Amino acid sequence: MQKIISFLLFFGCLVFMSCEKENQNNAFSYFQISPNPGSTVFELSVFEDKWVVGTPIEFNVTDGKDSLILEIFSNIQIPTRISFDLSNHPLGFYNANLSVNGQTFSQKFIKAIE
Amino acid sequence: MKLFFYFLMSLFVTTEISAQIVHVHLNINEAIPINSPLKGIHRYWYNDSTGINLGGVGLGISLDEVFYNKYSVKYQANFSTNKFYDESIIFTDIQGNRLTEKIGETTNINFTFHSIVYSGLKKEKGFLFGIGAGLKYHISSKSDYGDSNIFGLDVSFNFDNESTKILVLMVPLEIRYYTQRLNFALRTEIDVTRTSHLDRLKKERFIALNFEVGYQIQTKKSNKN
Repeated sequence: MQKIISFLLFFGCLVFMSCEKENQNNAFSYFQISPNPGSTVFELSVFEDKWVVGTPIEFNVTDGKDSLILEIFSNIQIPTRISFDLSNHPLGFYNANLSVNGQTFSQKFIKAIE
Repeated sequence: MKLFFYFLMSLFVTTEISAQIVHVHLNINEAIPINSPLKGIHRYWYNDSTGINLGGVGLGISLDEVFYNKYSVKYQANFSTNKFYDESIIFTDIQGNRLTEKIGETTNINFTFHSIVYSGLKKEKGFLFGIGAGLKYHISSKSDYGDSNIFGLDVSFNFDNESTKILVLMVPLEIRYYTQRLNFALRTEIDVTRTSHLDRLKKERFIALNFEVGYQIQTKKSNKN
C-alpha cells in the first residue's frame, strides 16, 4: 500500500510540474511582419498605440532552433517600420521577437521563396 | 533531472532473470499539447475535402523480463508518428494588410524508448499496471500551413520544424491487459523535460495517449524455474 501511495505521489508531482501554467503574450496585436510568407526582405511594423513614442525596443529574429539571426535596437516612432533581409538564410520558419519594457512578444513567420 | 536519470538506469540493472518475452506492437496515439495555448489536439481522424486524415500511428518491439519470479520490467522501442495543430500564422501582403490566419498541422516521426516496471507478474491473463521512464526524439518534424500563390508562384508552406528536434525525457504510465499471445495497453507518456528549442515555449510539454496491441513472438524461460 505504501509503495502504491509513493508511486501516486511521485506521479502526481510529475503531472503538477508538467502542468505549470505558461503565460504567452498574444503578439498579433502588438506588431506584425510583412509580407508573410515572404521572400527575402521583410518588414516589422510596431503598432504604436500600445506604447509611448520613444520607448526603446529590442527586436530579434531567430531560426527554428532559436539561434539568433539578427538583432536590432530602436525606438517606437510613428510609424515604426524596420526592414530586415533574410536572403542568406534557408527557407522555413523563423521567429520574430519584440521586447518592450521587459515584455517579449513573439510571432512565427515564413520565408517561402528565395 | 538526476533523479530521473538514476530511476531510468535502475531499470536496466539486470539481476536474476527468470523469463524473457518478446512482443511486437501496433499503436494509435493522440498528442495533447500542455502549456501551449496556441497549439491544439488533432482529432484522430476526420473526413475533409481531401479525404480521411489519420492521426498518430506506430509500431514497436518490446522485451519483458521477469526477475526472481517477483517483478517484471518491459523495455520497449517504438517508431511512431503523431500530429497536432500548430500555432497560427497571420498572413500579410507586402503593404502589411492582413490576408488570413492559418493554423498549421505538424507531423512528427518519433523514436521512443522506455522501460516500465509492473506491479505484478504475467499469468495466463489479467491486468498489469506499470510506471517507468523513457526517452523520445523527433527524427522528423514537418509543419504544414497549406499552399498558396505568392508573388505569382504556387508555393507549399510545408517545412521542417527544427524547434521540436530535441531529446525529451518522459514518464510512461501503462495499464495492460494480456492474454496468452495478445496484449492490449493504454499508455500515457508525459513529457518531463522541454519539448522545444524555442525559449518562449520552454514550459511546453506533450502528453501522448497510446492505445496499443501487442503480439507475443518469443518466450524464453530460465532453467532455474
